[in-house]
Amino acid sequence: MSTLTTSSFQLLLDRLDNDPTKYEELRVRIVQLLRWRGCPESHVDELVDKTFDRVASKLASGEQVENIGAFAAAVARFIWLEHTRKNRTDAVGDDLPETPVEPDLDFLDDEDARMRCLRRCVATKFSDEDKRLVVAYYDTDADEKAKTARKRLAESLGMTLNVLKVRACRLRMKLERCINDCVAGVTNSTRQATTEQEVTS
Amino acid sequence: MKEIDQYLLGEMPESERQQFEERFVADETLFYEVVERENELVDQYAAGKLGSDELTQFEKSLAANPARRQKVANAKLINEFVVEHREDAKTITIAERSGFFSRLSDLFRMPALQLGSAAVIVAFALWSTYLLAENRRLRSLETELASARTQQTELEKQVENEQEASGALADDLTSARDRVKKLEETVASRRQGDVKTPPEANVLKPTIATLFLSTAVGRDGAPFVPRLEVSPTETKVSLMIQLEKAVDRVDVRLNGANVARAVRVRDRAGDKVISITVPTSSLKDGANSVEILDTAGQRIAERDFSIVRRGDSKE
Repeated sequence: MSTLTTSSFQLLLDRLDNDPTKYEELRVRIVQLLRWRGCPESHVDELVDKTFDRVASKLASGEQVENIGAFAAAVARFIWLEHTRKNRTDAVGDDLPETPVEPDLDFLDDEDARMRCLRRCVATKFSDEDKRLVVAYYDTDADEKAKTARKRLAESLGMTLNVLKVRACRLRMKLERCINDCVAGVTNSTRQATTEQEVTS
Repeated sequence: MKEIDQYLLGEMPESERQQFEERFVADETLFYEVVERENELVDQYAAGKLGSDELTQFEKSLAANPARRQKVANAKLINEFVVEHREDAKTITIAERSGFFSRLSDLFRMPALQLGSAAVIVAFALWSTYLLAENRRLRSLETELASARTQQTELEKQVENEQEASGALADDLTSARDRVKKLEETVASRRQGDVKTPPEANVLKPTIATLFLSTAVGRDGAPFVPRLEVSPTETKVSLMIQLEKAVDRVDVRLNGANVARAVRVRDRAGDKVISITVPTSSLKDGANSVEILDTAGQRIAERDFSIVRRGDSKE
């Protein structure tokens, strides 16, 4: 549960030049750090919230923090370690880990459902321009030509290759997040049966 | 690239790993290089293009990285989607347009063709632009249509599910409305002094009987066994069953036979209750038993009740 107060969050924002987009970007990086550490999607938001709660409360208690990004990364690692240790202890204690083991994808969903989710995400969350950018950027069938194609795409859009890369990566992250959320919703809804049933036999 | 691969594939010592994380959290360029490299590895893996060493390391990393397993599942589909829409993107990217216009302007610079070709080229350019615009509109409409069809199918499925759930309730509601209407007519006709027809003949008989099976026990501690009298017109019995245990969904067995699956447990004024409707014909005269099982198949409750058919001479 989040314990972040308005004042401690404001202290955190102050350290990020009072710029909410900087906070969002830092959050994206911490999310990714936790994923690369092995955190499953189902827990990542909760652990990132805990990370920022703790960073904010440290700031509120007067702790001197030189580099807010590096500090947040260290806290995230600690939170992840705590989480894995706790689950290990729980598993020994009552043989039931708190974190369910991430199911195999083959079991979790079928490709049709995931593809339906992808199409829905593109249709509802992406502008035509974003869609075209994703298609053009990730159309890398001819491997060695990918860099040239991307360079030409960047030039045509009037941006550097680096800016294009950042934009394409952000769009892909957004798309994948949307697909995963959608698939999780579809999987849950297929488990749901009727609330009241009439027996026909 | 080597450092990034080491990080992504779990080959980096922990102390270096921590330093590397602190760097990419503070450095946007490095962060997106790592993200991009992971996308490349995932795309190459999904396309079966990783070399044997990288493949072994990547598969090892998959075992410890559930989020990456989801990325692999997404990568295959993103690639399919990209291939599907490749032509669409090509016809409309500014790159294509700027290339086309630059070639067009080069042609205009050729003195021999300046005048004669100009008219033809302009006409061709206009015609091509028209075709491109039409093509774009058509594809946009097709995409919109496909999306609308998908949405329609999903909504139909939802409606179907909801209808299944509400079918029994809708029947009950219709019966209740008919009954209220008949009663109102009867009352109105009685108020007007029209008593030619005996009221009983106008009133629709109830078709559903309701039985509440609570957790209550008798004074001796033995479970209370309620009795329900059903008339010949009551073709269905609605069973409301109170549970001691809080679970989300349960299966229900009646007299040993499975009769309902994954019924949602509702909270009614703090009580956990499920409700199912069964045909009266599925109930035995005399003692009946209903068992409630959790989704793992474990029995969590059992209720006994007795049925007496009115009009029968037995009781």
